Amino acid sequence: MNQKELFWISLTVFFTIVAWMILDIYLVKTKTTVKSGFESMQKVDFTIKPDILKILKEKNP
Amino acid sequence: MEKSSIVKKLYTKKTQDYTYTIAFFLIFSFFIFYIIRPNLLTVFETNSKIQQLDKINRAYEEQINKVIETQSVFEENREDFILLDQAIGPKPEINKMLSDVVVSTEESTLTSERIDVFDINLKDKDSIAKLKSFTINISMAGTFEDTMAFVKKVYGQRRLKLIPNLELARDKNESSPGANLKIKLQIEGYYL
Repeated sequence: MNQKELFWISLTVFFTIVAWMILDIYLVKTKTTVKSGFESMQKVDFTIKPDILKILKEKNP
Repeated sequence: MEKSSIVKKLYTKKTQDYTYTIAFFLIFSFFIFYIIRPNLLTVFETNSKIQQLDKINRAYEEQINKVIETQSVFEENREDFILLDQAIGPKPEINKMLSDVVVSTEESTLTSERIDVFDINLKDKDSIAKLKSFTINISMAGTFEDTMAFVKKVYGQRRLKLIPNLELARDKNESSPGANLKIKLQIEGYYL
C-alpha cells in the first residue's frame, strides 16, 4: 500500500467521521427528549364574558 | 528494496508531506470521534432540551394565567352565576317555558289556540355539557302590535329562547285593519 492510497483512506475516514458528527448533531437537534404531560393535560381554552351576566341580569326572571 | 533506500525514500520531501497529512487526518479523526463529537452532542442536546423546556414552560405559564383570569372572573361574578342556570337550565323545564309564554300573552289580546312541544329526548345521557334544544309550536290569534309585544317579551325573559320561525296570516274574509291575525310561532328552548 503506497503513501497515496493511505492518504486517500485517511481522508475518507476523516470526512466520514465529520459527516457522522454532523448527522448526529442534526438528529439530536430534531429529537424530542423532554417528555411532559402537557399534551394530555386538560387545557383551559374557554373565556368567560362578564358582559353576558350583565345582560342576563337586566332581563326579566 | 534495500533498507537504506526505504529510509532514504521516507525522508524525501514528497513522502514526508504525505506522512504528515495522513497522520493529521487520522489523529484529527480520532479526536473528532472521541473528544469533539461527544462534547458537541452534549452541547446541542442540552441546548435542544433548554428550548423544549422553555416552550413547555411558556405553555404552562399561559395555562396558569388563564386559570387565574378565570378564577378572578368567578370571584367577581360569583353571585351572578346563578343567572346562567336560569338562562339555560340543566333540565328542559317545559312548565317554566310554557308559563313564560303564557305570561307573555297575558297583557295582550293574543289568544293561544294550540301549543305543541317537540324534540325532548330525556333518555339522552351521553351528551352531557352539550347544548340541547326542544321546540314549542304555538298557534295564536291577535293583532300585529300584540305579536310584536309578545316577541319582545319572550326575548326579554331570562330563560333563553329563540324564535326561528314566525308566520303571520290574515283571514281573507276579514278586511278591516284591526282584524285578528293567525299567528304561528316556533320557539326553541335550550337546556344542558
